[in-house]
Amino acid sequence: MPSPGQRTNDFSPAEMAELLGVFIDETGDQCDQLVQALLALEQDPAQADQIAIAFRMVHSIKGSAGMLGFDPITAVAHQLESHFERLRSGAVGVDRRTIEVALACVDYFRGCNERLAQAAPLEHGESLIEAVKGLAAAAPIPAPPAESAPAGPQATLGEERQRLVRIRLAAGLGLPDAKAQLLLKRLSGLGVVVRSDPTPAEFAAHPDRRVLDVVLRSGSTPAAILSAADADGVESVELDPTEPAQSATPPQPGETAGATSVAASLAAPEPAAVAETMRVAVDRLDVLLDLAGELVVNRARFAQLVADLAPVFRKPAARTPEWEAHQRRYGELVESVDQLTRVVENLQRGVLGTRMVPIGPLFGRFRRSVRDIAYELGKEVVLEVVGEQTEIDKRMVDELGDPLVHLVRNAIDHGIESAEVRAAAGKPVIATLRLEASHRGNEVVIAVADDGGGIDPEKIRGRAVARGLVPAERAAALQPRELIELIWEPGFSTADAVSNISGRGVGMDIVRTRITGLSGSIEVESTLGAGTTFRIRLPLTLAISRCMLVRLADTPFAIPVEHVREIVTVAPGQVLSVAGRRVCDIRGEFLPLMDLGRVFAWSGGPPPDEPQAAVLVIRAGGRVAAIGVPALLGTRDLVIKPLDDNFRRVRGLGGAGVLGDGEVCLLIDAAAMIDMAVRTSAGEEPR
Amino acid sequence: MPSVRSPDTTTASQFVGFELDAQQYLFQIERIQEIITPARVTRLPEVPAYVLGVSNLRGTIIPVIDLRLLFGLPARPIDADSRTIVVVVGSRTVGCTVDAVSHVIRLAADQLKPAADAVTTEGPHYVAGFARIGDDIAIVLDVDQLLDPALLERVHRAGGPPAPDRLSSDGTTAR
Repeated sequence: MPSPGQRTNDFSPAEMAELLGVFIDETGDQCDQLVQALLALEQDPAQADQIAIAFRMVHSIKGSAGMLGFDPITAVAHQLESHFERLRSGAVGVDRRTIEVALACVDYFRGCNERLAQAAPLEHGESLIEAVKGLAAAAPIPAPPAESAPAGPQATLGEERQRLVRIRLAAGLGLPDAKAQLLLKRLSGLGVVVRSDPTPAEFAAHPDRRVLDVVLRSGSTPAAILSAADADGVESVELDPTEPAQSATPPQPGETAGATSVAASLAAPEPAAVAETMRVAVDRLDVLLDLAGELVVNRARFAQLVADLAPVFRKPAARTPEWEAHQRRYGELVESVDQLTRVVENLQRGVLGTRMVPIGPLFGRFRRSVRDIAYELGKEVVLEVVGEQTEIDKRMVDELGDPLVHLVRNAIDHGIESAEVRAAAGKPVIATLRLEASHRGNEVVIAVADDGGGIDPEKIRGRAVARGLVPAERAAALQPRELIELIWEPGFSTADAVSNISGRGVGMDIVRTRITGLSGSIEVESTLGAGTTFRIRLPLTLAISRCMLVRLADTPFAIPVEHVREIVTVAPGQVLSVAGRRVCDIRGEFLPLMDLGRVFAWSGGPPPDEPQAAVLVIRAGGRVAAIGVPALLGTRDLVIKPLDDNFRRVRGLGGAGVLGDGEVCLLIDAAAMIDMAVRTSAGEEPR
Repeated sequence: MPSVRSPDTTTASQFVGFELDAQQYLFQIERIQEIITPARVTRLPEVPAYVLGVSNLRGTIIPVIDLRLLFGLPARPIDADSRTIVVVVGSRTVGCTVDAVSHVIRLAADQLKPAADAVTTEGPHYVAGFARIGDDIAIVLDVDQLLDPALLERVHRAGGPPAPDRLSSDGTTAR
């Protein structure tokens, strides 16, 4: 595809197409990193490491563009590289103008990528080259003298301490790995779990171990830590014990000075070693995932056949040498199937892992756009990013960009007030916009939160009537909550003046449509004067969810471990009957108790009553319920698929997964189930 | 709409015949993804009885519908003849269990009688037509109308298809 601005090169068209794909991907990433470095420099121009990163990125872009003969790109990159060379040597300092011009270069590189993707001719960047040259010609500006104050982060870490929490589990406790997992979850609510010894997985392998050492970095009081670690099934908890546990390598107990080695090796944000990576088309991964799925089912078939054959080899009719030879073969077959099982399980987990990517880079892109939009609108906004490590399916990342851009623009344009208004309201003049990602059960929750003025229901009322969305008399009767929901109506826009940032009437309805298209949902929460939060919930269509498995008659159910607060055994004396409802007393906390089989409505009657083996304390959306289950099967990593892929949504269920043996298990939607449990226990008929 | 509604006398299409309570039914062969012996089904709560549950079809989780219960016919235990026919409805893959799969048959378009207006307006909407096979009359079912998860309840409320003897005696499909 020779076109103006591209030198002919020695690659075949097929090679060129492949190289082009790689080039676009790589320069895209490099641009992202370059922007990050530039923005960091804008905050503190004296960071030599950031200058070095920026230099390296520009250098790489120049190199790959040169190799493929994209001369216009090479020329701009070359000029910029020379300038960064001077910055690096300290001959000139970084000023605002440098950042502006460098960002303009990034825009140019990205524009080139788009053109290359469409096989359009490249534009020449003479004006940019002149602009970069202009930077060099400007009088050298010495970098602002770096204050000798210590770097910021240390100061804020002051109150946190690293502590060793030693938990002794009761003897003979079932499922110690699940218990360990729950304890870690509880402790991580107080701070950062630096590590645990043994890990929950090691516990599963050695169920006889009873001591769990957890290194926790936390600012909480000892009492709070002890109470978090003291759950059902725990015999004792020690904080910062002096005795090393047998078999465990004891981490340094928590004195700030003494903890340095652990902290330095485990907690300090060492520059992460860059893992070797390669690029793979997602389609290929899709194919692999499907194949791995088929293999799982085939393995299950083998396992079944082997099991079916077992009786034949257990009861010899006559012990002939021939029979013994067959029996030996059968033994080998059993072993091979076991081996196959291990390989298949690891393969499936591995293939799934390849599809999951951290959401960080997607969030990272907003550093730039938040800065640009805020600058354009004359507002001061800090972007706060939380949960960058949250992994989501690669396909999701690709689809989320546009809706997020829209939400971020809206927040800065409509949500965040001008500095004067903020100052008058006694709020910090610099506004905060937060992007946050986290896993909640079988969902990824992404929040876009601003501390702006919030949504004014009265303004919406007026607008909705003016736009003819709602008749005036009906609008007058709407509650604030209902009014806010009107923002999702097509053609709604609250901006008083139509700006070029947002407010063109392609509004929130488009965002909602896009999110729904990903089988997700979006909701808004707003407090007048205090801010607005948009919360996107996405199914982990392909994400692995760690679940507690329970069996109810013939039906296996899975509950994401995040929603299992604890597993308890409840003695009959702890169950009270209050006005026909069952309530159980868990350490003084009275919770509604329901048997799992009775929570759901079953056509043809509920499954037969079985003795209750354990009670799961389920927590979701700030509410708690106790659910009695007949059989606990331990924890499993599950691939969750929505039921409406091939069927439709089912009340109380969040999807389904395939167990190792090919059986389908049903994923419980904890929040919906608590709703149902509370309603059913209140005597209402299940639907 | 299946091609049987607009008869083209020159072409023949292939159908898979199956049995349900001694009545023959036909699905267009191209709508069928595969025919399997009934697989393990996980029972689902909060659904009507005609939804047997969900099954794992090589990693894909599909609903399994009991066509007998969907048509309001008495239940019958799974036996060696029982089959699950896996069909594609739009973007969805759905399984339905039948008493037995009898044959694959090629029918010329003129052997197919479209459902008379009387049947489609008052009777079940999922009946696409009828075909005489030997002495029997088979009912041609419209897969999209029958097994779309969103339309199942409508099918169930409409009740079973009209009895074939009534159909032949009132001349709707008799030659």
